[in-house]
Amino acid sequence: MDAKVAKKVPVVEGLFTWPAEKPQLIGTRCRTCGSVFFPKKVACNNPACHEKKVEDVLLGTRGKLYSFTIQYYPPPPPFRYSEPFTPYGIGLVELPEGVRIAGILTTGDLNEIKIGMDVELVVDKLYEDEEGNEVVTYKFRPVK
Amino acid sequence: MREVAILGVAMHAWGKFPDKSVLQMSLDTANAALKDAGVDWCDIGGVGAASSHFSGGMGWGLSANELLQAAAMSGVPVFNVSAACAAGGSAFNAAYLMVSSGICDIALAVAGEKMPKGFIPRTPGAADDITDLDYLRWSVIGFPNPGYWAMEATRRMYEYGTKEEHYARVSVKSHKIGSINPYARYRKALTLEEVMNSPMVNYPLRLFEICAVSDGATAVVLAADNVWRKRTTKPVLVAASATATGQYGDPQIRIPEISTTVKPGGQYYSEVVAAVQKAYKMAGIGPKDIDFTELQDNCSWQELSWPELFGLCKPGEADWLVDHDETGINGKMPINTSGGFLSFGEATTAMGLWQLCELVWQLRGQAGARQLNRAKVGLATTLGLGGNGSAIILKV
Repeated sequence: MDAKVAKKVPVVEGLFTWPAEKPQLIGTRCRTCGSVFFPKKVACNNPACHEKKVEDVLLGTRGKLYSFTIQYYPPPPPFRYSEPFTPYGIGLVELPEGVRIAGILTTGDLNEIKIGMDVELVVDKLYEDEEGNEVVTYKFRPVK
Repeated sequence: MREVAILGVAMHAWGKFPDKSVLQMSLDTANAALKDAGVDWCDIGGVGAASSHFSGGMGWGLSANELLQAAAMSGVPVFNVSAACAAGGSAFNAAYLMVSSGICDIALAVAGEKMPKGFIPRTPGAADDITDLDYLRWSVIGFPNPGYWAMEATRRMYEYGTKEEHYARVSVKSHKIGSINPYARYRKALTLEEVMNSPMVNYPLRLFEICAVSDGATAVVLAADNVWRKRTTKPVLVAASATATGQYGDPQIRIPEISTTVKPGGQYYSEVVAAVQKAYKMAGIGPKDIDFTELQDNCSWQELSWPELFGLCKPGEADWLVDHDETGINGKMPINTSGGFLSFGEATTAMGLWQLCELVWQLRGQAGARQLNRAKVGLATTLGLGGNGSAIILKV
């Protein structure tokens, strides 16, 4: 096997299922009140919850765009990107579980980004590392 | 609880001071506040100091100890308060509690800050994994602080029809006031065109709508009624001093989180709104009684959103008020009569006390060219990382 075949490596472990055909974000659900948090948390922060017992939960992959910004300048490290830098959208996506999640939007045409649009979770390239691996993160893609 | 008044305030110049230590800046400012108050170091019975993440405090946030070891080893109790950008307000709250509860008759609240250049760096030693939210927001998304405010600003445009020009007009108003404030770092008035032509940083926010970072120092001297009654018949009274932390279900996307768990009825910007509501209650007044407000304009968006959250105007009304210059010095809802963070730059932990200088000068009638016609009751409020809010109401 050619050692130079690019591997897809998650930017951080434990944030989304990987490798996976249909990746999902990994969150926490409170066993008492059902509140969902992302990423994983050590406890439920609902003050009315006494038990604070939580479990891992895989989040749904479809949501609606609640708000967004466009990142017009390169963020500093530890953010890494492949040159040249191009402005990208960051969305705040509302999932049916009652959690809003920030993530990069895959949209190339920044004018297409609209509040209320349906988006779905994808895992996509962030940059290429020194070993030639493709470092991937979760992003949100508009549903056509 | 004893009735507390502010005897003296002082503000260091705001800007970049590479050749001056934060200790020297704090000491010079504390001395100036003592002089303004007409008291001596021997009179100070307690100190509340803002702990900085970036400078001084012997690397442990021991800013009060450092100051006393340099200037007055009187043995008094101190509180070194860590509350990020709300630390100045929280340090004041600590000093207020010492005086109002009778621990001491006169206390000093002090904050000095020297900011690193450019972006605020990550905490040394934090793990590069999912337990460190700051690591996640940078490495996974590339999500800087203005991006968070921009997220709220975009949503406001959707909900209320706010235009990009509204955010620009806030900046025009702030810089207009900054141009007549001798303490301001940025003293050039800007036109709407200049603001709109400044580079887009995080849509919908442009460069001139986002505050810079600065070095600065401020100090406030507080005294109990048994002291101030002997000294003045026109005291600036502390009507309220309150702090709060974030609440479950708050829909804001809070720095440096990458998500928010939203619950029906969850209070938007709960840490700061709860502090303000507590302050109203403590002062026995409502928003209608507030003559002027200093609030944390990290960017233009806060000046539109927060007056509405505080009940100073109706939801969505701030755009119209800004369009008609009603948030300016001659308006019916003056906001940031100092010129705001936009005219000074943010010296993070010092800002809560910095706001009080403006409140005191307005209430004393010492605000010069920016003096308000009516300044009887002023509100100052900050928000800090980690879900910290502070609100202080001063009155004459």
